[in-house]
Amino acid sequence: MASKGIRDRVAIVGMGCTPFGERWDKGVEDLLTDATKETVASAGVALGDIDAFWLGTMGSGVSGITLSKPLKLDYKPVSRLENFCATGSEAFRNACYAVASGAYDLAMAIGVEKLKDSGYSGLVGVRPVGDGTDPGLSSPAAFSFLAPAYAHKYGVDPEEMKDVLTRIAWKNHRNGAVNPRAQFRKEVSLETIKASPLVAGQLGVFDCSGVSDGSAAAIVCRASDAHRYTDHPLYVKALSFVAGPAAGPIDPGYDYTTFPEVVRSAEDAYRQAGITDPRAELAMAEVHDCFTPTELVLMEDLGFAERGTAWKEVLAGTFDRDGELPVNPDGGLKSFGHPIGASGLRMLFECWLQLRREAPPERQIASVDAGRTLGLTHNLGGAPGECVSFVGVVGSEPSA
Amino acid sequence: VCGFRHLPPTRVCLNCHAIDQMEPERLAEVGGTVATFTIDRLAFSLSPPVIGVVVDFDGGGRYRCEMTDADPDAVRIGTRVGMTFRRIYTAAGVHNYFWKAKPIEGTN
Repeated sequence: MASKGIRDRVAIVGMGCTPFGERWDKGVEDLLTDATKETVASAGVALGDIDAFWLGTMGSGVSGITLSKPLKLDYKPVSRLENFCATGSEAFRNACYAVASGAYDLAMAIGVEKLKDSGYSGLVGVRPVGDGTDPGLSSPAAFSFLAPAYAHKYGVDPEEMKDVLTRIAWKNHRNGAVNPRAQFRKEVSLETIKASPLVAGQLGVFDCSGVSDGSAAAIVCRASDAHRYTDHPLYVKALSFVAGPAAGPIDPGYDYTTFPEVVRSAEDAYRQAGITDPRAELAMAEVHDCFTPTELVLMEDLGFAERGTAWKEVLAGTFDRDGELPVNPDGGLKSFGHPIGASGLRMLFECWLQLRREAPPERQIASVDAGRTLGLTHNLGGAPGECVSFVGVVGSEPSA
Repeated sequence: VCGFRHLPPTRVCLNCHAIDQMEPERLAEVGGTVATFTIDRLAFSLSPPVIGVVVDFDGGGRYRCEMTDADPDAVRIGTRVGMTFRRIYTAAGVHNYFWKAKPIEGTN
């Protein structure tokens, strides 16, 4: 890997996250303003103190003016970017590099998406016109390719596979039920999840993440300046981003039981952060559970479970909020929905709360009390075999 | 150059990264095997529900497409298929034809 990493050179000193959901009462500009207001207050700075901005959005606006106009920014640099569903993480990554370089002292990464106004129940985004030969599968269908392939490779009975996928949705809904920012705040029974109408392959409605509006943001500075703003910063340990060659749909060597892009970005991130045993070292992970089979496969790709064993670990509760390694303790995409530009920063926001013990007692994870200080966020965009993947690690302590 | 088959044709080789050194190869009559599949109840098709398949061709090459003339409940990993040239979309009286997979009779 050619990436050098910027371990402990950048710190997060403020974060904010709007409630996610069907925000008919808020426009894109309102969501951006709400997230910014909370984030600058969290960092104890004025908006005018921030030197540069990175705005992530897939389809809720183009150009930096999408942010500078509602915030009335005073002729500051604003980059607007998208990188599929990893857009929010990509905004954060670029803001971190900006302060690490010394070009700016304070930078803000902010993500937003308003999906509910599109009139379409799914992800929005403008793409170039194709040649009309693509089979045009839906997103749940593209991700559902994972389920039969995984079950076939590891000898999991289809019924048992359905139980595994159901358990993932149940766990994430259970976590979201106690999170006031989540779109869905109700526990859903295993029976209801399992009996939900089929959307694609084995996936029912409850195997799919929600469709919501939301915004989240982070303010970063050089780590050496962090204590000017807060006694409890989060240090950026690793930032890895990979765009794959989209080999899956053309390479018979790809078996639809893994995301090679995630494996690469995880290896890179662990190397940058000095992590050798993620399952034992991480306090928590926020992963891209767009559909239940995605989370299953990610447990292996991120090194939380051996190949072919994640399905058993899921059933055993290893990744529950009170399990050995809490995964998506905030409720994940399942409970939050996936306002594309905001999701990566929403994941980071949960690390911000949990690692700094600011989550309410009913959902504070025990691993932090046990002395673990590191949180991972994983964000992917595309489909199995052809995706972009982000893996980031943040921690509450500078390295010794 | 290295013999890696690309469907659809492309200019840069996934395997050896050679640029503009591909040779056309006819696969219309070559059989293949389903590597994974889905029944897509959301996507549009002239013959719903969409059966999405990933097909590995005998002798190399993979293509992802729709399956036609098939029972959705009978598709499995390992199902044998051949290619057939079918109508994919019709808009404003204009038809688009392209390749779909079709089960080979008597192989399941």
